[in-house]
Amino acid sequence: CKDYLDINDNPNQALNATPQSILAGALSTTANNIYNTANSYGAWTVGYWGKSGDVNGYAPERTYNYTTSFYQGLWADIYDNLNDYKAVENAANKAGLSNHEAIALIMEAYNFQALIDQYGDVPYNDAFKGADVLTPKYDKAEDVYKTLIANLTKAVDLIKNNPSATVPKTEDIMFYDAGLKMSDLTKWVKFANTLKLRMLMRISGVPSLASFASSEIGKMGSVEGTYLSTDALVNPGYIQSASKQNPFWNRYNQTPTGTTSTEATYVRPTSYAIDQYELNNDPRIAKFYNKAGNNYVGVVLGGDPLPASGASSSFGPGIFKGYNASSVIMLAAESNFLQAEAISRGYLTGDAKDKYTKGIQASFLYLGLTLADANGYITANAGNPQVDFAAAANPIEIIIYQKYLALNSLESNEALSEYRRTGFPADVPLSVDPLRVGSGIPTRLLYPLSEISTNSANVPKATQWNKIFWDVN
Amino acid sequence: QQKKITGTVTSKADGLPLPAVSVTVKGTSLGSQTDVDGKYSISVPENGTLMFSYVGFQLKEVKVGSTSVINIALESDERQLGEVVVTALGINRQAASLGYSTAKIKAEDLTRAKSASVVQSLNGKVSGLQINTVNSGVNPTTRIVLRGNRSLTGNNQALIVLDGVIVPSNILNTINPDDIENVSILKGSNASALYGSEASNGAMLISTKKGTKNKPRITYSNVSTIEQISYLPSMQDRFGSGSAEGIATYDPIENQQYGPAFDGTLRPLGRVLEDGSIQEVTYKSRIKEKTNFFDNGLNMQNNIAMSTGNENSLLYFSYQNVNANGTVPGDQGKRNTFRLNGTKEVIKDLNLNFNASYAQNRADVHSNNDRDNSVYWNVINAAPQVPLTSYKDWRNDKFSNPNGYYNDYYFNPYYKIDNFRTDSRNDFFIGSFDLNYKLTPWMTAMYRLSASGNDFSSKEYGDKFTYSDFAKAGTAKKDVAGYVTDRSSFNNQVTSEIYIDLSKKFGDFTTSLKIGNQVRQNAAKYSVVGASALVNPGLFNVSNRTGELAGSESNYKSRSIGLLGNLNVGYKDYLFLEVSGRNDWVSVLAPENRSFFYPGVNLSYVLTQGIDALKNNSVLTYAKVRGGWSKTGQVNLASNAYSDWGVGVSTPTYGAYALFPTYGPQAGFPYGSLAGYTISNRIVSNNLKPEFTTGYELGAELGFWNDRLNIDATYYKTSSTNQTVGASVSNATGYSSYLFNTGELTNEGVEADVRLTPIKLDNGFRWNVGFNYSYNENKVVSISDSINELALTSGGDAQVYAIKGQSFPVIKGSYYERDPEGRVIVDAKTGYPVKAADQKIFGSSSPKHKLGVTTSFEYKNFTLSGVFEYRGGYVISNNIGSNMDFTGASGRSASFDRQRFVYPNSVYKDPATGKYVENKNITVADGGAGFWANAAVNTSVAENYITSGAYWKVRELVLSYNFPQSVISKMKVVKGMSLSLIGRNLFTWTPKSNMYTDPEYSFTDGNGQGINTINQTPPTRTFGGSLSVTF
Repeated sequence: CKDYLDINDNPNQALNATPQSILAGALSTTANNIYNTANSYGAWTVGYWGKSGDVNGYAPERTYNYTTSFYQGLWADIYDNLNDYKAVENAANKAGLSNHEAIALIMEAYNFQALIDQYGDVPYNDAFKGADVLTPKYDKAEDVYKTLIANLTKAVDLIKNNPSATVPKTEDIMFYDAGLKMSDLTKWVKFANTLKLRMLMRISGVPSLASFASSEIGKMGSVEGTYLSTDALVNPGYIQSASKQNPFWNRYNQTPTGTTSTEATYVRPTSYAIDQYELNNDPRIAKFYNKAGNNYVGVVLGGDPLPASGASSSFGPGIFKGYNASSVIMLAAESNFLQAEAISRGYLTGDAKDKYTKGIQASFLYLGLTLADANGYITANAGNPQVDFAAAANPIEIIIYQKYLALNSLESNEALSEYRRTGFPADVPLSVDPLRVGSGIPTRLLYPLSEISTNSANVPKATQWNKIFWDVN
Repeated sequence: QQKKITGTVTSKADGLPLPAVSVTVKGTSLGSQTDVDGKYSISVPENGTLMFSYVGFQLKEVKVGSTSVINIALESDERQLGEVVVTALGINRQAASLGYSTAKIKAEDLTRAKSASVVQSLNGKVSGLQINTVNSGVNPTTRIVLRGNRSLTGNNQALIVLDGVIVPSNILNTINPDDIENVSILKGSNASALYGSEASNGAMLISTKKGTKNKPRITYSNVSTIEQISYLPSMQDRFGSGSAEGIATYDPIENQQYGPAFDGTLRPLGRVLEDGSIQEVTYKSRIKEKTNFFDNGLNMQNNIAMSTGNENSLLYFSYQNVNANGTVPGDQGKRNTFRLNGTKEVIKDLNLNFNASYAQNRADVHSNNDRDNSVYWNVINAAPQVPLTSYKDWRNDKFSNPNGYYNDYYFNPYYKIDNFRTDSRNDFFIGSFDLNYKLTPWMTAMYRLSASGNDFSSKEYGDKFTYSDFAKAGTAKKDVAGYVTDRSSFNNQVTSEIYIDLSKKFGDFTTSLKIGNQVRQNAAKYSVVGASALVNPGLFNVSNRTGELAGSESNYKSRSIGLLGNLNVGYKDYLFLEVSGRNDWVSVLAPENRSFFYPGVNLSYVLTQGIDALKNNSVLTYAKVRGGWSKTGQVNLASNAYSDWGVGVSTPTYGAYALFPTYGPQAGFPYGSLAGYTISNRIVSNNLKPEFTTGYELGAELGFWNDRLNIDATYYKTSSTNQTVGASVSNATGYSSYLFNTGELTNEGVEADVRLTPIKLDNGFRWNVGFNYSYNENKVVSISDSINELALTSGGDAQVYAIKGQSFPVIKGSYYERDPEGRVIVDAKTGYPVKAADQKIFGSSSPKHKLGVTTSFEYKNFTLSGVFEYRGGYVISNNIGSNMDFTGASGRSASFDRQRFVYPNSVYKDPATGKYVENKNITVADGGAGFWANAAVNTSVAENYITSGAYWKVRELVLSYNFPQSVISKMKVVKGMSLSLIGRNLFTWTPKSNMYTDPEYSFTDGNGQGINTINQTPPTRTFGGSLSVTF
């Protein structure tokens, strides 16, 4: 009788998976969550995008009237993704795979930071406990930031102190080096440092955290060789097939079948964003956008009537590099601009202008232009306080402004965070929709409906006008 | 003086001759019997009285007069004291001895309105039974629930038992209704617990015909009906294409209907085509085009059955062909059903019974898999000025072809139905045989082996369409890549049963004991492959693709063993006790939780037999009280392997493999040789157990004036604990749901069935009327310490929930903010009502009150009968309303003539005082698309589309005529003939607020009832005629 009933072994799905295979899946998902979803949210909010006349909708984007279901998937997807990194961290730790453990810690920091920058306080210490803690308590965003920064330090140490540990191979779809036939761990260390620099710069304006930021940055040492000088990109091997394309390409350009994606005709650059390149004779404009007819035509967020998709600019070859192009995790341009700002603020020693110039150059290179193009742009704009570092009244303003130009539709969520932190670019336009609420750009997302219905005792109250703790300007 | 009388005895219900009817002369021992043709001959003294008696029919006495031919039509008996009822496991019990409520529906009541579906024929006929037809179409899906929902997220549908064999409920739609002898409904788990863990929701026992002891009798019948759209949602017919907010502007390419009012001028429709032409139409309403789009569907049933038998064997054979055309042009369904039933006495006291049936179902229907593909959506989306039905010839007509179709955003529905289809075949085989041996007069042993199998495959496809460059340039038109998805499944069930029956009489006590063992195995395999882009148009094969082949497979197997015992003790003929118990062992739970036991006890007392003072009372002729208590276990881990197979086909997992979390491939993986995995989103308790329903019922049965009035009333209360719940949990746990045992759900209700014969005249006129009423109140007592609500559906602005302290299930959704007096608060600047940040509960989505009224008028050979049904006390969410407001098709969106208006009964907050002031003059900023199509202030506010679910329906109306024997006897070969005119679902009345659809409709046949969507088709009515001839 017992044997007759012992037939409940699952023939359909695995009950176990290796940390390696989970890591590959998790990195690919991070690309989708951040580069596709968070980047979209940022692009609407920080002035890059508007809608074409082809469609109604995008009401929260243009009215700032947020609901608890607006972008609720971002929350769920990031936590789901983080649970996989946790599994990698734990399994790798048990198996002595310290490099894998370090990568998991780094990616946890990357994802938590993205989460906190939109939501503020989030469950951290109580999170990922499964059935043991069904209603996790929320931790102060500031404390979580500090823990993440410590974890990044720990990750760097894990890599540096365990030279004999197994080096990840193709499961590392971010820094696998085809020449080495394994991961380039030095890049992971640089990525961890840059991420730490990003987080420390973000909190540096908070009076109570300024000295913490300064001392943590100081511990990382010299600017040379410490931070990313190449783009951090993920590519699991995108191909032109269902759910296997570059996620941003898939959503906003072409479906795997070669037909136009639904949102490709709905989303259009704002005339504000187009102006920033056009007015400074920036050659990047041809990489970011395609002309409509003879001109670059943008839309106004919340405007009415709006040009049809065919009568307005679509996104160009620097944004849509191909269905198989890599997803952006962090651009080298951002790394350079971060260093330039840290130097300008006195946290690091070095040549701020050099880092600033390298930032512009890295942006040109990413988009498919050349160093000569970048240098030509700088030369041609000598004396222009939006381009010429020396001519700028406020170095922070020009650095953030140029970062804004570099992160356009690639890391828009970071541009949004920098805008909230610094207030630059100062003239990012508000939606002109008559139904727009509030007097500024929303400063955060609402906690999602799922959290309100499953964890209501813990979820803090928030409106889209509350500021994240580092947003002190 | 003796006189010879001859004649034919027939059954009044179907006009067929009755063999072996006993014909006796009252007060004498003289007697005769009818032959196989129902004919008799007897010598009677003059002025004598003839008595005709036959089991199951009312005794009839006829005084012999001058005539020598007496033809008699016997009426079937509503209830006899000795009436036998088939109960669980085929146990035949005297109706009087039952301690619980059952309902028996005879074949004639079931098939009167000639529905091709057994399920739909049960509507409105039994108290406590709720059938929802969740959509119309050629193969409709139904949901059958008895006495309310007991399980929060598990199965709540009644168990279906066909000829003693538990079968999957989707088999019901494949049974030939003419094969059915009768249906018994065991309403509560008291009655059905012996069937094991799936029977906690009551059971429906269907017995098919076994053959009759007569010469071969062949019956042919034809039923031809027309199905027609009974109503469409309320639509506006004053405004044409346009989407602009503010000033309504005509837009010739727009599906939204927020353009200017019709003015009869000639206007362009669509864009200029490549050849320079442009369609022009007068700008006026052609709203009838939307109704005219739908066809009258022809449904044809042809049925031939043969039944025969002799002293020691019976045989029944039938073949039915059903051919249905749907109301959506091109939709087609076919069914062929074969059945062979038989009984043979192999040797003395050893009987062999066998049943075998095979049903072939074929459906070729349009794909309604999402909103944009939905035919309904594309029809509703056509602005009222659009000459929709002129677009049939999309291949040749330039304005109908996608290249030239006026609308940039959505499709010509005729193009959609021709190119986006699902073709499916679904075959069922059910077979069983049993051997029954009477070992001694008091002991019988029975063994039965049965199997059912379901073989399914379908091909869902959309054809490739490449637009001309001209059509694409500067428009939203996009090439259609085409796709094909090929699904196939096989599932089967094998059951082996052994029973031993003992019965013995000890003085005044009658006893019977049944013990038995059941062993069952369910197995299934599902596989699906698909291609998301085609190379050659018109070839729907996965090899004709670009890109990778997508696909998956899954396999399930579960087993269960049951041991049961059932003891009945009767004292004299009025007091009866039943005790039963069952233990189950199931494979799908962990070994330590695998075994569970549940008992039951029932008592019945016939007052009119047991109490001398009540005996032979001419008013109260029958009175019985009854009561019972029981506990039933149900393992609720079953789910579907795939969320939607598109054509009403479910993919059960039988609860297998639910105990452990799994790792599945991450989206997109594998990429070449690179694997990528992710942890499943569900956590599972490591100690899952069955759900238990405990409950009692009390009832009374009363008969007055020799059954001219019958009342059967029941009160019941059940509590279901240990619910197996997959609750949503905070994503911060790392997971999204948690499967564990928790929570309690109670059901309490009353049922009453009243049967009345107000008029019964000697000339044969008779009026019968029956009422069946059910009231069910259920409540979610608790879910868990940390969870107070569970979402049963997801996605929209209103969803179905289980919420602690509320009825189950309830609809919760978004609403407008209101001041303390309940007036809607509007924004003082825009005049738009303010959507509240949270959601509120609107009420139960399960009807509290159900009333069925059945009535018939019989006169000579005519019978006029009707079934009416009311449901009320619940709400539904009409998602279609939101879609129609968005598109501007709704009548609601034109309720203020698209002018700026003051939101009715509203207030605004006075900024100076902070008080709410009645709004008399702040009009909405835009009375057109700016308000009605605006999600933030209108279309995403669920409150606008939640209405009462109440309705009255005329379920059936039938006029039938049985040709009298005097006519039949002149025809040589024909033994009986009848004609009827039938109508089903002829009229539905709903409250004014429900401008949308049939409240029975739901986008799911699962527990999340109460939401209808645009992916459905409009409700229909059916009418036609039927002819039946017996040879």
